[in-house]
Amino acid sequence: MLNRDRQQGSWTVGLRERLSRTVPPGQVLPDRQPAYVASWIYVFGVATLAAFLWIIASGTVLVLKGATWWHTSSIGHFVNSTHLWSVELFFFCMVVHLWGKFFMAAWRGRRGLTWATGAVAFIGSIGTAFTGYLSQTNFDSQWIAGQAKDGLNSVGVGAEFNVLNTGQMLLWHVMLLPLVVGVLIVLHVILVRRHGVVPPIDAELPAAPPLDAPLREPVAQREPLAPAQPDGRAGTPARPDRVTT
Amino acid sequence: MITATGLLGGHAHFLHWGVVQISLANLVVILLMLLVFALAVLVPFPHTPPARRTSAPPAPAPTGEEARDAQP
Repeated sequence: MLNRDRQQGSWTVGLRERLSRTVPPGQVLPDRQPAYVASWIYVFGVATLAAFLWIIASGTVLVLKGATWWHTSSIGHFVNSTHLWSVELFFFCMVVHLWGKFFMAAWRGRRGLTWATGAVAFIGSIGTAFTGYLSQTNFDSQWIAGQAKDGLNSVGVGAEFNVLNTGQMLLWHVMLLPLVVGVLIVLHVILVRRHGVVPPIDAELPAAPPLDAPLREPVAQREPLAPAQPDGRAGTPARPDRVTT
Repeated sequence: MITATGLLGGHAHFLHWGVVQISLANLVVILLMLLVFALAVLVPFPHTPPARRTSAPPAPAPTGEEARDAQP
């Protein structure tokens, strides 16, 4: 067997080639972007990532020192406060980024998974924050747990997800949920690099001529017509650059 | 002296509007997010001078995968 044949049958070669195809060459960490990427909306996306990194860093210190450290140490109180306020910044920036991408219809052009991973990461982050409220080890967390258990019992999940069990909530908060949110964020960034940033709506969809517009050339010389569009507009010119989903 | 503890450590102020009630702090944060969003949309983004850019080729948009998908 030739060496090349052996390489083609290797799972490591296959995995390496699959990973190299995940993001187009030069797009992992690009130094130039299309002009429409120059927008504050993406600054808030990057600020969300920065806040997430600080959440992980401060949370790691709190894990090392223990859940009650911040009650007895001024340094612990400071680290706990930076953990809280980085979460506040995380959500603030993420919501601004989310609103911007929603009004851009950022799921266009086969970017549905990019949108979905961001949206699910947002929902997962809310769950992570709620378990953080339950991990304060004070009367506030006790009150929140007492309220939350009624809501969760009413939908039948209280036996599996017991908010009165501080140990379970703490482990969900410091291990399981951050792992899920972190994986979703990594996938989201990879998908952004894979598919590129969504172009502006008016740059992607050329306006169809009005139905009552006068014809400037005989019908036989016009472009072939595309099938009827889902929104009911029939007969718009077939354009190879239309990449709507 | 006004401190963060003094502002945030006291009793929460709630606003009531029919069945809707919201704490003043949450309302302020929501209004701030709306204000920042409006600024993010309206304020022009500063552009990098062309002389500071490298000679690397610009990013393709749409990507090759999308161009293939868009073929009639």
